[in-house]
Amino acid sequence: MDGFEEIYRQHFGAVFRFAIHCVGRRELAEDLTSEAFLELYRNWARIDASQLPGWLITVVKNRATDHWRRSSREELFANPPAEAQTEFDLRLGGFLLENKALKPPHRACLILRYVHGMNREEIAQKLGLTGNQVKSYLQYGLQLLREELSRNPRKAGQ
Amino acid sequence: MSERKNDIGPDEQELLKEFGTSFEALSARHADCPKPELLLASQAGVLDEEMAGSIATHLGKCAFCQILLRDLTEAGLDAARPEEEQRVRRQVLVATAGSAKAQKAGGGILLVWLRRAVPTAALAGIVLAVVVWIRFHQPIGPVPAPATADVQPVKTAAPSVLQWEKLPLKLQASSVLVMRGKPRTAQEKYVAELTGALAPYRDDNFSEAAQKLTKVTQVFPDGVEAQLYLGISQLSLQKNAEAIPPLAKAQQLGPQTFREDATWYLALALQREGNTKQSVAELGKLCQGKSSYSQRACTGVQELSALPVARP
Repeated sequence: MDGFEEIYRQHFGAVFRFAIHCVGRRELAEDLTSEAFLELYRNWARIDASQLPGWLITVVKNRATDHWRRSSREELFANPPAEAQTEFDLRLGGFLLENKALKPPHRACLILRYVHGMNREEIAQKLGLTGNQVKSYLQYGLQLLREELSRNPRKAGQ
Repeated sequence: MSERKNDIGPDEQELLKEFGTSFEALSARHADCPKPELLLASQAGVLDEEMAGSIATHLGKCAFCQILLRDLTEAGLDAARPEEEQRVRRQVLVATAGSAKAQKAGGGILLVWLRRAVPTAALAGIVLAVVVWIRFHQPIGPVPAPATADVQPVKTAAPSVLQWEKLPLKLQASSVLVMRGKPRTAQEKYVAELTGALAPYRDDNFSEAAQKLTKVTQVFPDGVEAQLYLGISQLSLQKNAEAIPPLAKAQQLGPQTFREDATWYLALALQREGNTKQSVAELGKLCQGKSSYSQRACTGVQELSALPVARP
């Protein structure tokens, strides 16, 4: 098994990142990544290093496909009738699109909070951040939103 | 839509109130938004055609989901944290420990990594990762009994929740700390012996696992993993009386997560031996706690309490 650790270190990052994109849940991405490397370990004798990391990526992709196939559509897609957008939605949407001071993590935190209704702990888990980072991003985003709203106050009747 | 704990700050409440809305109303309004993981998966090409089509349709009309997908992709949040890398490494280590290939390779990746020095600064992370791993990798549901040529566990009729199940392999933090590579310490020897003994357990060969683990416990009686997995292996072989001493020892040794595992299997061993009263007492400990066993333990207490009095 000479070289296995080197291969692991070389490709772990890319395989994990791909796994995150495939399943979106960090703990599941860990499992898929370890499964891919275990599969490599089992097939070590017949895998050429030039096939990597493609071979590992394919293992992750196949496992992820199986994962989603097993998940019921009802569980994944509640799909209840959505209510019409309110002024808050419109203002939040415009703010997220136009405010240049917001960075991707700020926006992701704000959307997960105010659109997906997640608590800070859930957001931290989802994004791989600490609770304090999420709190800080949300505070900053909320502060900018307030400033935006004060510059363009809500009109009467809206 | 995920369940949300009430962690809404007064500033948030004030803002939402100003707009005549609430968190609940916001969540309900966007309940048709796919989970973030589905948005990502739709781009990775791992969804079936129908689901990928549904998400594409939704993305076409929902600005929030468009922004979220773009930001999740661009934010660089997909990089592994050190503790995540350590957990993956550990999963690979445990699963490959002592395998034939590893032995052929002079100890395999486990020993290669064991011998390699881990930077001291990373140790705290490793301990934390192990604690988290152990905490969150408890068995949450019954695991099917292995289909091997080995002696199969015989399921008892009652109680329904108290059945034998294979506990996934795990090591406690102090067993991982030998990754620092201190040569030939007792702890390092223990881990080397343990990993070899756990290989047949991993392969569902509980007879061989019991033999090897018995030897390990004779040399290292305070090795909690060896005691625990010996007890579980004995149980799988229906050697219930023999399972009780190592499980009781593991329960005594702790730490907490191993204590909970040991208590669960001890309750099973006692119940199989007809000692219902003591089995209920052990389950009662779990029932009062907050482990992954709690709910099943409470059900077990109820079911066992309803059984006719067993032989003494």
